[in-house]
Amino acid sequence: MARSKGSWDTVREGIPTLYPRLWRLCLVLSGTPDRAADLAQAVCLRALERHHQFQPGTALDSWVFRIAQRMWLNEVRSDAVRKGSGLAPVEEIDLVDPRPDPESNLFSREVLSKVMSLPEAQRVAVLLVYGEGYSYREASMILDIPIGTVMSRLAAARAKLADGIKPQEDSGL
Amino acid sequence: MTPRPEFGDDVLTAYLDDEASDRDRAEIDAARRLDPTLDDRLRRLEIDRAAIGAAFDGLLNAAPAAPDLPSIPKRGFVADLVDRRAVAAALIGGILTAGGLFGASRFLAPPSGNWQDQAVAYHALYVTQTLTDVQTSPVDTEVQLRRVSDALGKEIPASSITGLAGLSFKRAQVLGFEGRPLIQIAFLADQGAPVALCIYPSGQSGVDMGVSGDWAMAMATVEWARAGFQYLLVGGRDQEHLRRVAQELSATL
Repeated sequence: MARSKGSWDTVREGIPTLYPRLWRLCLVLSGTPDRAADLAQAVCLRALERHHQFQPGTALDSWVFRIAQRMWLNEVRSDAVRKGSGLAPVEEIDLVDPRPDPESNLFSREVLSKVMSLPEAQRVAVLLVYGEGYSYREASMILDIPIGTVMSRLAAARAKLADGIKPQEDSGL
Repeated sequence: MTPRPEFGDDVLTAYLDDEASDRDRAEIDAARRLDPTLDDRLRRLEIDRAAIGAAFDGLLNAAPAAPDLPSIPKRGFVADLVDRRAVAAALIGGILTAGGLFGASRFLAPPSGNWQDQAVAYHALYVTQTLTDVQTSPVDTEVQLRRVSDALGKEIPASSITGLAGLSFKRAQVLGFEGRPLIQIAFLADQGAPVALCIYPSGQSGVDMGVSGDWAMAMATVEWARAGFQYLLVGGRDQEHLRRVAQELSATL
């Protein structure tokens, strides 16, 4: 019988690949690159400590993201809010748009700036559903909230984003 | 079908994201045919998902390098054993004092130098919460039992371990005592008590021994020996249950 990888190996080997996405989530949660790096590192260590709770064969990214969300809400957020350092401007983040032309890079900065100015709960829902491509159900499980709350957060985000981030092509509506 | 007169932005958002229920989708489609203002509301909620996706993709390139991670579990086998023995010794010291004061006998007996007493002392540190969050998938169960079987040099099939009456399998691990593997297979009893099956090779001098029960450190114990291996079940207060489990195990292992 071929042996399957245990939870330690799966988590240990999966984290480096996952790390940029984890850092991005931590950035969207915490609002600044420094806090994102601290939070992401703490999440990695917590995930390794709790590797036995991970079931190989299930999605590692959602499991790690769930840890990040809980650590931010329960352990880190209050401290960050107390220190009152607020959100970092998007200009301070070394953003590189995968598309080659400078115009699209500028547009991406504008888009990101609008998204990052949303309230925390809304911008995280936007990242998970529109950035990561999770379904509403998957996002609700990561955030530990009902699907209806994901819907209402996305609706509120859309109402605020729709002014500047309209589709360029006719959607048929 | 009569369309609902009003849809919330959340339902319209789900519609735009292709996440609306079949019923909501059908109702919105029907309402759009009757009410042109609904399209205006949908347009007001429209966003460029591709642009948002591209902006988020750009962030991935800004991520710092992943931190160096330990290549082995922080609390590995050796550290685990040493730490727990130290804690066990402290616990046993406390029990010795209590035994002297109150005349407790074998029921609270501290461990001597044999493997059974060491295993009992180790298991005495387990509480229900030690195991409640341990969820082992069937694949991990196979992997763990393969690992302990390899270490012990004796097949411990999952079919003998996972279907025991009144016990939920939690995990199997390789410990060590005097240079030989000491296998600990942990369960939670239906009543919440942690129970462990411990197996130790008895060597060439080992003789078979029938199932016998006793008490140690306020826990029920049952022991037997067969074909070069010694077995110990420990945990909880229901010795009759442990005896039944021991009969089941001695027939299949």
